Amino acid sequence: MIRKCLLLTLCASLAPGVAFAEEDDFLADAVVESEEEKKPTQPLFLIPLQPVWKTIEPGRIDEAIKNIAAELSESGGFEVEQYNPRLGSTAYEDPEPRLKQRWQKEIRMAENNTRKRRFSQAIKSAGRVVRQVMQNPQHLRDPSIYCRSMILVAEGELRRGRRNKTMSILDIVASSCAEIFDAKGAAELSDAFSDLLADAIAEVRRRSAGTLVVQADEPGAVVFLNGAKLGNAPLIVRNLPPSKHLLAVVKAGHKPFGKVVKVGSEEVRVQARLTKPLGGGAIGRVFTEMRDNRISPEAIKLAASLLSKHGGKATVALLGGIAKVEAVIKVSVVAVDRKGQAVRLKSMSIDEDFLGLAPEMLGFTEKLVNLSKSFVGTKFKGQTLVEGLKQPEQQAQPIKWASLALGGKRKSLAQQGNSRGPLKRGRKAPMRREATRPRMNLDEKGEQANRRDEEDPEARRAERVDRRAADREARERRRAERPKDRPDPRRSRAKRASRERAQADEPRKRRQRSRSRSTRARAQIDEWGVGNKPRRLRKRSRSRVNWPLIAGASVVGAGVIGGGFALWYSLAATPSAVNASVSWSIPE
Amino acid sequence: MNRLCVVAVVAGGLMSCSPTLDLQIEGAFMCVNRDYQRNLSTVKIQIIDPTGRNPDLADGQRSVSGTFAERGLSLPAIPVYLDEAGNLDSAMQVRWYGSRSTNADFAPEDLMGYGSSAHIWHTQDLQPDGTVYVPLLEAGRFSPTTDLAQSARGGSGQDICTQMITGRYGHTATYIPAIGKVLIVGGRGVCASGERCVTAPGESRGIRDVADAELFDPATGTYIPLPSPPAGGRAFHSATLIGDDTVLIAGGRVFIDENGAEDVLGTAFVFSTSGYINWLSDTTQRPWSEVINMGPGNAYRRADHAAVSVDSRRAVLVGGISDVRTDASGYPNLRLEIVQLTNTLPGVILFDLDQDRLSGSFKSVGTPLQKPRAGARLALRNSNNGPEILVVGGYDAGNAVGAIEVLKNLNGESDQIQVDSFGNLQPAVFGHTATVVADKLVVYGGLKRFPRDAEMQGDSNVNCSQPGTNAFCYLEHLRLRFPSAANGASFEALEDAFAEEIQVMTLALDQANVVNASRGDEQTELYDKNMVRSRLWHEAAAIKGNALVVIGGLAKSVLGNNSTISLDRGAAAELCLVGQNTVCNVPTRLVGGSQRKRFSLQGSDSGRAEFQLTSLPGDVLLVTGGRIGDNGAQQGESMQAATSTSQLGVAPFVR
Repeated sequence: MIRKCLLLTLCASLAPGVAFAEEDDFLADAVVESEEEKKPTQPLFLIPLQPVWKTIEPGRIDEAIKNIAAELSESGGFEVEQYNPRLGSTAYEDPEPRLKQRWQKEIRMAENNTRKRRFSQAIKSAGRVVRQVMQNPQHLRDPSIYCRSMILVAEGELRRGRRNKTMSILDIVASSCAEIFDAKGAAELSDAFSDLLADAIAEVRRRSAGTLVVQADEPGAVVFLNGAKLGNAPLIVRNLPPSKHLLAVVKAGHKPFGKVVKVGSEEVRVQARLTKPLGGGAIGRVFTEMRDNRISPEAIKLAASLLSKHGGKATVALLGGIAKVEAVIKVSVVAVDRKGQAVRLKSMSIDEDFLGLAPEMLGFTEKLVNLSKSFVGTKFKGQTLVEGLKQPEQQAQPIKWASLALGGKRKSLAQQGNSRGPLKRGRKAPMRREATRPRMNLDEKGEQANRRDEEDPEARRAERVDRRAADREARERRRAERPKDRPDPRRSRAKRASRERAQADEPRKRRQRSRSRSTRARAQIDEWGVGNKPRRLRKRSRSRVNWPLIAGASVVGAGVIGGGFALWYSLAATPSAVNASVSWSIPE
Repeated sequence: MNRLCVVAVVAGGLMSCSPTLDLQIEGAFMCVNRDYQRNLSTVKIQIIDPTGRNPDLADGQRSVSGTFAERGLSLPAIPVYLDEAGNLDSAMQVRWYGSRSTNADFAPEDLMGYGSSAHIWHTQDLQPDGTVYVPLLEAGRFSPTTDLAQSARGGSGQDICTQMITGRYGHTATYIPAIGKVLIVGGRGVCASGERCVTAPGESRGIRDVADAELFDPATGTYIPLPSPPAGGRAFHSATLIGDDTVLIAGGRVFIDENGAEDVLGTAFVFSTSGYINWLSDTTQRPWSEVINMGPGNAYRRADHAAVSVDSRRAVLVGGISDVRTDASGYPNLRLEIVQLTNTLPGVILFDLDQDRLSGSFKSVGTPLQKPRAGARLALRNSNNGPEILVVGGYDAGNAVGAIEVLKNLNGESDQIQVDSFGNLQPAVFGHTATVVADKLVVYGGLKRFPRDAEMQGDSNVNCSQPGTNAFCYLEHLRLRFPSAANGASFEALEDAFAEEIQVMTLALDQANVVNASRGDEQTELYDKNMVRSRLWHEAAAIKGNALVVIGGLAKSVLGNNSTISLDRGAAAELCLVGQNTVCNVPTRLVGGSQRKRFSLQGSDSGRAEFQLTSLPGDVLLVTGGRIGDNGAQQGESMQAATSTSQLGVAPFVR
């Protein structure tokens, strides 16, 4: 309304012959023409306004810039030239379909190799899949491929006698792959491995103490933990078993985030970064900082540099941030000249409809006009870009993992893990081992061991004979060099041992053997790759457990404890329930 | 039934059997102030365990929400404890919240009303038909007590309002948790027509001591008459809850002739819950103990003293006056020697209840008060050395007392209890309140000094036979009568004597660190401009949310440019939010537009002094008795009316 009055006044002064009774359109056109004639065009170099904390959509930024440029042109005579940097940041493309096919093929190869006991090859194939899945974490939404690969790697490592590595892998598999355990595909897994895995799963199910906090830099990112969809980040997952867990944070069009997270008794925080960093070197770095609501001297320096290189005749560059708080768009802009001097211009709070833009820009445009005539600025220190803006905080949603893990399908698996027990009987080993299979050298790497499988056995035997002969000669030499009054240390040790054995009575020896059998069996399981002996020991130890006796004693014990508890409870007070119905009448 | 269950459990090993109880809860609106229900949209019902002893009740509560128009909700399978006979043996409380918002998780400003049942511990606490009544109170409003059963059946209006059996002021009202009822004892009431009793010069109606007692039952909203207590009537005595089942009534004043001459009592007695339960089934029993003499030969007699329990067996009584003299006309006057405060009166005495909880004895404590006083207020404080009692304000023969003293070694024997200095009030006050809210003590209002005008200086022979002329003769505690504004200097002397400060101190500190609270004067939808500048003989109670409700009393208010001192409706209730900075203000009822009303008592009984404010479960407040004044207590007139109307109310909701 004010502007219209001004226009009318101006029009009247320029064209005194035109009566006020004439149409508004005519008047307006006349004024615009006269203004265009009056105001020279001044180029203004605009570095794109950066969206602060992603509070505003790209479309709204363009709209805001368009409106601001129009107002600058109309009231300040500026021609805004927007710089368009190429930041090299491309949208994320999901290579899911082709990868999946390739991985399926690799897993089939690994399973065949496991069946044929080519464990090195199996580990290599399955390990490759594991690595590639972690590089493409969107596939952790359904961790079946990952888990099948991990199980094959763990099996291979176990067969090669690498206990520590196996247990480390089992830590992840137990927490993440309980459901996959049944669907292990065509792989023939050994009893030892199956039992170890069942134990690990049962162990994981028994404990629940850890807390995992998952945050993401993109709103609406979906969190998957061990293949279970938990909801949108941020999340607080409580009662997690202290173990390694498979975490994936996914949002369409963004780079997925995947990580194996080790959760202990203390809270673990994971910040998932789904946004690709802006490319373009310094420009990308500065823009990233501005999007985090900071502006630094580096940004001013960059703006001056861009103004010199790409600004043409423009003497002033503008850069700044734009944010949206409810229905208000906040714009904060800094003007920079070619020397790197900077002036912070008046901040603007504009309604979404931009109707109040003109009055809001009153001081802004005037200041800019003065600066374009003579730039007086200061050196800039790092400061907040858009003042008074609060970073939108999302309330982390708490979730109890234990309740998830014990519901539905997972419950049966947990129970399966518990009931299986370490010494379950009646399972036949699916694997057959050849009696003449040569013993592997554990010190050597997997590939070397595998290669040795393929070498000529006769040549290897001859090599061993030579080495034995050399050893024998060395021993003889040492014996000859030893003084005669000093007894052979090996013999004295043997004599002592023999004496001790003679002193020990036979029944005690039997008890000792019986006690240590299970420990020994477990130790042999750990070294399962070295021959057939451990399997036999393990079978024998199982037969010693009297399950019916234990079951009977448990039932009687439970009955006595339950009865006593019920009696005590009834004497103290009976836990009961009140069904309350509440009613009220509404007065007339 | 339960035995069968036990057998079944033992035999079956894992079988479980849990008896259930059906509870019918009925919400009942008050007899007036029920129009707010038209704005109600959402209702939330909450069942809580106030003791926190029921481990099966998750978070100590269970709640459900629904729309008000549904007229009902259900809360199934709330875990409680039943005894072997299937009777309830579990502490419960039902709370009702009504909101104008459709959102079940409503904001405090949307809460239009709330209420709480009385405590429910045993089956005996339920009504005979197993019903529990919940008063549906409007937030920020008091209403006359109501027969909840009749209201729930659809009754309305004055017919279902209930009243105390005897109107009274200067009485005591004590909530007894063990039975969930309020014991109302003694006080002074208006004489019946034709009755010969004390009529002060210039007054039209006589007053008498009330000898009877009654119980208010929050579960039904009705009053239960009790057998008369021993030792006749008394007023301005103390009633102290000891444990959760015993009340000690001690001291007080009593008229000894028709001219108004008074005596101070040196007797006490005890209300016993077990005696009350026996009396319910056998009317030959009594809920009272025999009379207990306070010290040898009633030597520890006192009135206008303060008392508080120390543990489940003992209570201390602090200060008081030991004599009330009369002037030549036989009527008590302002001569300061009426307040017989000398060091010969033991400043602090300890009452020790016997094992039978029906008798006990009084003993003097180790050291006397350094500043003997009457009209003090007490506050409990926890220090590193155990609980301590602060003695705050009061008056002595000369003036208001500003010294704060502390009683230490409360866990020791009577001779080990020591009195020590703690600090000073700024200014000294009497006729005030001192309430503990969170970790702070809030001392509100009172008089800074005796309001003696120039005419009275040095003149001990004040003529009280001509009220409204020249003297303060009839503020009951000191038998003062206050002058009208027309009396010029006298009125100004009274006006100047009001303490406008609200003094706040932090209890955690080992000495008084007094700061002043501020008064919010802004006028918004939630608060009215605060016209009340100070109060005298008002009452205060702490409620949930670190808040304090201050209500009633003789108010000094500012209307336009003039001060008034009155008992009328100008004395709206205040809500003090106690935090780092304490702010007191007059909240409005939370209805916008023309329906806005200030937080106050209802109707012509809204202004009253010398009443009792009692906190009930769920922050429900009960105002009983008092001297009312619409016109009856204006300046220059005596405040002789004693009301029998009690009111129940809740403050605006503070989260």
